[in-house]
Amino acid sequence: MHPYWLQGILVGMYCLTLLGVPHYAQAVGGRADTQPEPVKNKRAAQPAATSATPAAASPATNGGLDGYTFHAITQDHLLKGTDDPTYWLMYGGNYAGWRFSPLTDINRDNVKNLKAAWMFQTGIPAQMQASPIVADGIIYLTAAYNHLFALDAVTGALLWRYEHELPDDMRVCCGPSNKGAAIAGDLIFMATLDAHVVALNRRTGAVVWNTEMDRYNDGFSATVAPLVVRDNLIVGIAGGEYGIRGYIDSYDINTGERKWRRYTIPEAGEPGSETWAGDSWKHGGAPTWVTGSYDPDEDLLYWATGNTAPDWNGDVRKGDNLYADSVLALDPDTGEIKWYFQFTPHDIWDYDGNTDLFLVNVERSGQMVKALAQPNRNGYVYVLDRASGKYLHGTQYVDNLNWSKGLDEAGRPIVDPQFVPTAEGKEFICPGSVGGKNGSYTAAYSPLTKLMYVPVVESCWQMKKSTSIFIKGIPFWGGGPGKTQGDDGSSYGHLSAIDPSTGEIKWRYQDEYPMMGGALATAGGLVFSGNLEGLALAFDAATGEPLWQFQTGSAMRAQPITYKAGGRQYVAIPSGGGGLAVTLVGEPPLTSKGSALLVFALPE
Amino acid sequence: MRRVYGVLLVGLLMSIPTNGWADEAMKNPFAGDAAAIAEGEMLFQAVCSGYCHVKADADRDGKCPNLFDCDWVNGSGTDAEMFKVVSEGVPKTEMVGFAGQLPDDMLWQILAYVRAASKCESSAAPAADGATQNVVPSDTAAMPAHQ
Repeated sequence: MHPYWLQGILVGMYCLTLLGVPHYAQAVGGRADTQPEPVKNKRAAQPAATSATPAAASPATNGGLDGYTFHAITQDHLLKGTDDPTYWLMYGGNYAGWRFSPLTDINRDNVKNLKAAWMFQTGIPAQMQASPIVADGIIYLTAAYNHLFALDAVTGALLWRYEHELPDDMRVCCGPSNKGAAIAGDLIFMATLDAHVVALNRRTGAVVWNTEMDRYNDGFSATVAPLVVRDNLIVGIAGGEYGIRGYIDSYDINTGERKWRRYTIPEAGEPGSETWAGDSWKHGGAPTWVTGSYDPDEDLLYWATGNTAPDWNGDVRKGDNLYADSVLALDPDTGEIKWYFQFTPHDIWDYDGNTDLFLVNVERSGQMVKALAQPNRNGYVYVLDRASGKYLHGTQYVDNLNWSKGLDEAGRPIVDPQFVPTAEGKEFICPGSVGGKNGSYTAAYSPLTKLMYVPVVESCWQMKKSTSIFIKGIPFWGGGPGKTQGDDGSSYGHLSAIDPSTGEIKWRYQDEYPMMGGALATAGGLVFSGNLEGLALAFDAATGEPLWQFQTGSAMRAQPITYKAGGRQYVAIPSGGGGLAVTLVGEPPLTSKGSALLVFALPE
Repeated sequence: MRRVYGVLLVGLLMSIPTNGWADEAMKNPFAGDAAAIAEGEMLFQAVCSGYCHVKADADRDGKCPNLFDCDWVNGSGTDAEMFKVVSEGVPKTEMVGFAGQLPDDMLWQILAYVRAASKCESSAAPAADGATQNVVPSDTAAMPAHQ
């Protein structure tokens, strides 16, 4: 459903079209020849009187944002990540994907005093899934339908806004979400639902470049928060439910020109193509819609891939189906695959393998090993050697798991043939297709407690298998969910603190509903997350004791961050429910839609 | 308001000259053919259902219009109009045109299944005979389903 205001416009358009009135496609749909200009707050962001050149071409000007000091965001800034806590420059906070801040002003002793400092309403009441980013006192927040807002990090004042013009017939399986922006130099980047990538002047919101990744009406869309490594803007693609052939792209941050494309399914003749029957590789899925991680020491980019297509029927794609449901280690400058590991070979459960990739050190036989840890959608936490991709260990983190009888010595799941999709779909299969841990939200990791904090869904599903015919641009599912435990109210969720060295669950907070909001860890000994009832929550990172809560008014589906601005620590928590997944796993019956950023601080 | 649009659109549709192919008398050659209906059900499942439209006996609602309640969102629900919708698609929605993607016979089989499996409310009888009925763009249908 569109928002009501847009429905009204569309109904009007429908009538006008029939009446022969020249239609309004460029006003609300279709692709305009020119990009819309950003709308600036007239008091906060008047164009600078001294700037005679377009802001997009003049990074030295401040676009009217007097009072802000802009530093070009360099690779050094990105490498530092949240070590400089006035910045939050990427989806995971740092290249290791931790979503961790060293800030301690707000801590386990005083978090009970946390109060709302300000709130920003996006006005787009649909699925808020983003992680804000922060640079030089400005928050860059994306909302559904590719709205992007620049906000003063202290006051919440709106500085400028950008709305990407979208067509009406987008192919978005699961909601109009966006996971956030990226930043480099003087540019803000956003991937869009019509499979474009845009770069905006961070001072003005003016479009600097706009590159089409693919034809949206062939089933492609982009919801990922891009990741910058040097001059590479790494962007993933969505469309696994439409039978796309997935890929990871790099675009030149300055020009928008594509530098490389790494398909996540090898074509006939390439290594791995033998894992696809016939030419099923052409429509095999393996999308890349969750931001990866980067190890500067190894100079390796880690990016995980999603489900095979068709989702629930593997008959037409016999084989392991590489590199779907895998993690790839890539050269960030060329896209060359250095190693891979596949979590769910021949996926027929829709267990997209693209969730958080934490770069952590784990202890193995008394030795510290540089590892990559991932709470996978299929119910297992995997730990790999991140230099070689070697499987170290895997453990079950969900309560309910029956599709597999365990992992073998190489980490390959031992499938239980009783729990596979069938035409009747009578068995309840655990986890359900959403997971486990879904890629639409993040876990967090604290290097102090050495624990991962993972919001978890416990919801078993019937999964029905059916025939499937590939037609470009329409869903290619091969089945779908039957009844789920969300239907009878027996789904639930938890936030689990998991030691990646052992897989041991150190503590757990259990919630009445699946937990599908992101997490944040801080050196103040805190973990922030939220639930589908709209509560923002803070826990003692060591014990799991709930220490603070705030009712935000809509479900928590997005990613909290923290930052320091004006000498004060703030915690920014986006709120806004919606999307296909929550309706399937079971959401509170009275959930309200919403889309807001709530920012908290201790009393001054 | 809904009724006003309905009257407006019925009038407009009646005044639009039909193309040669859009013969209002066009009938589904597989109507009532049990084997074709079974084939149509399989095709419906493979192409239309699961994610967008759902089958008549589905466990849950789909994100796209229900095709089994005889409450037509696009076109009038006659055989000819149904064929036109599946062949040409619906502009500005995810409903693509299947002409050239699937043979006409397959499209007719799908439509034969839809017709056979429909359960109509008393106020919305099937319109196999060409009678124009509800062509109102409802609040939820004919709109792209983004969520």
